[in-house]
Order: sequence, then structure tokens, then C-alpha cells
Amino acid sequence: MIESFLMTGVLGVVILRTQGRLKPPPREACVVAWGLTLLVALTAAIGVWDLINPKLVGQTYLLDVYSALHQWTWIAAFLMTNLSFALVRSARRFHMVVGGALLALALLTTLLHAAGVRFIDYSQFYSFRGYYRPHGILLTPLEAGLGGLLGWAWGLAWGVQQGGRRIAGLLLTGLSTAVVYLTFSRSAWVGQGTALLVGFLFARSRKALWVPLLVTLATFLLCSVGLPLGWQRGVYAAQGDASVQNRLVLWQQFPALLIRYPFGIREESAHTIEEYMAAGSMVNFYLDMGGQYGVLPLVLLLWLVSMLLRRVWHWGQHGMLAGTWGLGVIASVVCLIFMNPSWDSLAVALLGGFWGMVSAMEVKPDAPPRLHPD
Amino acid sequence: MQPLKRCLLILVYILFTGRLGLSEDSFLLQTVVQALQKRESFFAHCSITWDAQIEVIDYPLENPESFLRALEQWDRQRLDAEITSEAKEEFLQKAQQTHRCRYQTTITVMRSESITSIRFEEGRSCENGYIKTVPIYILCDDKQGYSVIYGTGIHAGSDGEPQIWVFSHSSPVPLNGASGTQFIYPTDWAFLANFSILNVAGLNKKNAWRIIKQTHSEVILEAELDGGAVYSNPRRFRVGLSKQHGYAPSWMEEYSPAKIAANNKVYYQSFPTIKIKVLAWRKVGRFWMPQSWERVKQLGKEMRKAIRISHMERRIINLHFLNFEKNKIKKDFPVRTTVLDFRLCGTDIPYGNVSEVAEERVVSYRWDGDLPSLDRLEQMARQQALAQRKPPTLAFQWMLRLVQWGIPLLLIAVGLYWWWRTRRS
Repeated sequence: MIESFLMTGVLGVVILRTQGRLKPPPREACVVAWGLTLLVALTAAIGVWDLINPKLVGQTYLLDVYSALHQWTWIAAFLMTNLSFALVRSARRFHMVVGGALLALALLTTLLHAAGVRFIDYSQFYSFRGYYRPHGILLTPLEAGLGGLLGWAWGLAWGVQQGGRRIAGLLLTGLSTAVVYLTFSRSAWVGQGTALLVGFLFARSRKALWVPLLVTLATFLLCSVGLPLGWQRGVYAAQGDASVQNRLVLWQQFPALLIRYPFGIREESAHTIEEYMAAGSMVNFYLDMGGQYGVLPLVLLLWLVSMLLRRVWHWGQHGMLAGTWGLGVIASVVCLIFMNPSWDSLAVALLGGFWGMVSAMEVKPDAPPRLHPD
Repeated sequence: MQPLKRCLLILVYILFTGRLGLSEDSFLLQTVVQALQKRESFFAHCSITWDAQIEVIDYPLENPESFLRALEQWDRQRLDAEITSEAKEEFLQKAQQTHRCRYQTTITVMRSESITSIRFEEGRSCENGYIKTVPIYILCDDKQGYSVIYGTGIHAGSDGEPQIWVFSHSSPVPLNGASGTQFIYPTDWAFLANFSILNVAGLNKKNAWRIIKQTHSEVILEAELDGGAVYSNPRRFRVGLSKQHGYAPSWMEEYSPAKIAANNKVYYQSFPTIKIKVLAWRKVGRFWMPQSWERVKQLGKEMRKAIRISHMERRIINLHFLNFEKNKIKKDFPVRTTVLDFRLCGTDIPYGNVSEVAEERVVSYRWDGDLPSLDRLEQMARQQALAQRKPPTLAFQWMLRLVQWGIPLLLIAVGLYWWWRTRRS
């Protein structure tokens, strides 16, 4: 119950901050933003190290530290970038450079993994009919697909600008789309497809968006011709794919679990081991929040997400650059219906950081520019 | 409108096949793939019972003295036991004789959707030896990519409780509890369960198979496998598909490497390690399946002018019973049976090498009626690792709890303070 109230409180703070009802003085914001940065960096570093050398991390107390911290990573990353992009110039630069570099590294290693170059002695292989689904330095192809979506949004936002950024942005758009395709992550495909459709609507008021959107389509088409197996995996979803069936069974159990455990399922409160195991493995970010922390955090999370989506829609309709960045939010929000990246601290830090950055962008279309996240 | 429709059709074709045109060989290969796939689907719901006569022959050792010397050298390193002179004499005597062992077993294959089970029963008499009667039960789901092996004696010692072992691929499994060499390999499934031979043993990769010869009666295909999930060494497969029998495999040969050169070039033995030949056919509906088939496995060495076979195993397998009633595959192993799940260890562990895998990746749990998903298994592995570790000290646990609750409490406190300040201003 304590965890449920703590999560409710922190989500409440995030919502108030996103609504602009918390206006901290820059100095205090600076201290909190850098403190959260340290926290996120520590958790992500342990997470990546655990992937590279699980034996060593498992033998030390680092795993306990990670277990205590990792559940807060995405919210900490959200608040961190929200504060830094709105108020703390030094932290903003740091987050842009480090976040961008990590995202680029994740994309690059996934592409190299697809080409057969391994960086990590992966303990688990994800394959479909003989094709090894790549994930680079991220935990699974699902997280790699999510990383691809964030990279794609970054590419779009640069692609609508001028000069060198435009070329780099278009290149990034293509590469990220290729990553999304190559992971065969259907959640990422659905996310990107949805965001693409919304993007075409936004392009009516921002003409420059047409080119990166067409690059996305062309890349996806090229990948489909080169590796048509991906579509067979898509079709397999409707042909009794066990991972899909497993999700459906768990989702059907969710309402009963939520009624039985309105404050979330913890190890000590669970009646059976199956119920405890179900709490963190619904393969749905939102339902997992409900399962682990109860009704209130679930409602607040959905509120936060709907608030972000409303804003992105508003920006997009008015042809603002923030709307282009927001396509990444739309894609990831849809993608998270079919996955939960919580076990991968790097992916979750990138996701939370990205949402936090977008949430700090300007709300009013006619207001003078306050910040330039790009 | 017509040209547009044609363009669209071509585009869709390219999109789904990834190619622009088909050569004659590719076309034939496509036909074969489709024919075998249809045949596999036709037998998707059936139970097949086979009677197997098995003969194992161990030929005299080529140089028993040198083998004995090696044995003595190894023996000297052990302090707890020694080989007596009587034992040495007996060994030399036995090593110069041919040993034969004959027994029969019943193999029942049950296919239901993607899950196939095989059950072996009644291992019986054996000359110069003893075969223990041990039921082994295998489940294999090729689409989900796992195999489950259940039985006593194989894993837990002859008197131990039965165990369930789970692998992330179709692992070769022993034919009986006492056997060190007699295995059921994935290629056997093509004859035992009428699987498409083009899909087994990880050979379903694009362009794995090529046509090497075609006559009026058969098509001969060849594929090579560079080790991996099922075989630790490279393998070459040759299969003859009978045109008269709807491209059903009429023979199959599996070749082991004789030598692997420094540049990774593989030189294969001239004789097949495993040779399967259909002796008689049976037509079921529109499709053909073996009524009787022979499988010969030979281990040996290639000399300059001859081949020296040291071990041979011959199985004559006859169809006993075929039933097309839709039967549900039994997965009802006794609840609370110990399960050792090797799926997190990847696809590179063959059945015989389980002792080499990292201990923390083998998840142990009790059977509750179904297999956990891979995501859940990963969580169980983490929990198992945490439980097996030395528990942290009380002070450290308190510190952790402080961090776990302190961080959100601090954030909430800061948020409340900012909110109060904002409202006041």
C-alpha cells in the first residue's frame, strides 16, 4: 500500500509540473534536475552493466540497489528533463548530448546486431523462422523498437528544419525506421504506423513534414522488399502466436486482479505466486502500473498520457515544431500498450526523458519561443 | 485499369516474396516446399505407433593396448580407486570381441496442432548387457520453439524422481534411459512424425537447401548446417524426395566432418553417419508415409584405403498403428514435478552439454500444468538469483528501504513545497 501512495504522489507531482502549476525557482530546479540526473545515470549504468556482465552484478549488492531504484527511473527521467528543458540551461545541454548519444548508440548497435556483430554475450535469442531479431545494447527487440521510435521522432524534428540538420534528420529518420522494421517488434510497428497517420494530418499545416514522412514510408517499403519475413510475423499475430495469446489471457485477468488488489500486488500481499508474477508481466506498461501499484497510479498515468497527447495534437494542428517531436510521444504511447520496458533501465530512461522534454515544450502557438529543445 | 491492376499484383508479389523472378530450380524447390508443407499439415492431428527393432554393435577396439595405457594414465591421477590386474585382463578380452545388443521398443507419436509428443516404452532384452525399462516423454512445439523431455533415469539417476527438462529447440534426446549413443535426432522427426524435412534441425533458413540432382523418379536436395542449436559440429544433409510419392523423403543421409581446415573449410566423411531409407510405403488419403524404414548410424574412422567402423546402430521401424482421431496432446505431467528450464541458456546447448551452461541461467521450478513465458522465466531467473545470494545485512536492507521510499518522499515533499510557493505568489 505504501508503494501505491508513493507512486500516486510522485505522479501527482509530475502532472502538476506538466500543467505548469509548479513553478520552482531556477536554482532549486537546478539542484533537483542534477540530483535526478545522478539517480537516472546510476540506475541506467547498473542496468547496462548487468546486461554486459550479469554474473558480476548478480554477485554484488548492485542488483539490490538496482531493484530499489529501477521502478522510479522513468519518472525521475521525466521530471529531470522537464525541469532542465524549461529552466536549467546547463542540464539541458547535458541531457541533449548524453541522451542523443545514447539513443544513437542504441540505434547503431541494433543495426550492427542485425548485421551479425555482437557486443554482448546475449543470454537469450529472439528469433523468428531463423531470423535473429536484433536489439544491440538494449534488453530485447521490443526495447530496441521503442528506441527506434524515439530516434525516428528526433529524425523528423530535424528533418523539417534547414541546412545540415535537415540532411542529418532525414538520414536519422531512415535509419530509425530501418531499426523499427528490423526488430520485427509489432508493438513498434503499430506505434509508428499510428504516428505516421497522425503525421500526415499534421503535414497539412506543416508542409516540411511531408519529406521525412515519405522517407519513413519509402524505408519501410524497402525493408519489406528486402526482408519480407517481417510481414509474416505480423500475420502470425493473428494465427495463434503464443506471445499474443499470452498477452490476451493476462489482460483478461487484469480487471479481476485490480478489484482484488486495488493497491497493487506486492510479494507479501499476493495470495498466489501466479498473481504476483502476473503483476509485472502483463506486457502492457499501463496495466503493469495498475497491477503493481493499484488503481490510483493507473488513473494518474492515463491522465498524464492523455494530457501529453492532447498537447501534441494541439501543437500539430497549429504546425508547431513541438508537434513533430510529439509524434514520438504518440508512437511510444501506442507501442507501450503491447510492451513494458521497465526492466531495461536505459530504454526507460530514454523514454521518460523524451516525454519530459516534450512536456516542457511551449503550449501556446502564438507565444514567443521560450526554449528550443532541438 | 488493367495495367494498373497488374502492376499492383506484381508489387504485392515482390513485397511478399522478396524476389523478381524464379529460376527453374527455385520453382521446383517452391513446389517441393509446398508439397511437404501440405503433407505435414495433413498429418497434423494423428497418432502413429511404430514398432522398432534396434540392434547395436560395438566392434573390437582397433588398438586396445593403447586405450588401456591411456586408461591407466588417467587411473594414476585418481587416489580413491585403481584398476586391478583382473579388470585389465577382462577389459582386454572384451575389447577384442564384437558386442551385440538387440532390443525392441514401441514409439508412439501424437500430433496435435503445433505440439507433437513422442513416448518410448518397453525397452527389453539385450545380449551382453541390460537395458532398463524407462518411459521417456517428449513434447515438441516447433512454432514456439521448445521441447520438453520427461522421464526417470535419464536425468535424475535410475532411482530418482522423474524430472522435466525444457529446451528452447528440438534437442536430440536419448532413445532409452541407459543409452549414451542412441538418440532421436530432429531429422528422425521427418519420418516418425511426417514433419517437412526441410524445416527440421534449423534447416528452414532461406536458401539452406539446394537441388543437386533430379531424375525421373526423385529430386535430391542438399543442405549444410554450421553447428549450433542441435549439432555441435557442421553437418551435411542429403535427402532424396520421391516424385512418385508426392515428394515424401525416401532416403536421407547425414554426413559428419572428417576434418575442418584452418580456413574453416569443412571436409566431410565419405560415408554417412546416419542413413535412413524407406523400405515400404503406405498411402493415406492423398499422401504417402513410410510403412517400414531403416535407420543406420555408424561411427568410424576414414583410413587411407578403407573405412573402419567402430560402432553401428541399426533400427528397423515398422508402422503398427495410425489413428486420425483428433487427440489432445497430454501435458499432464504430475503436478509439482521438478522442472529444469534451459530456455534462457539460448539455443546453442545440445542435450548432452547441459553441465556446461551457466548455473544461474537454468531456472528450477515445480510443474504446475504449463510452461511460463520467456519474459516470466527471465523474472524467475532474477528472483532465483536474488534468493540464492547471501542476504544483505540488516543495516544494508534498511538503507535500501530508505532509498526506495526516501526518493519518492523527497520528490513529493519538493513538489508540495513548490506548489505552496506557486500558490502564495
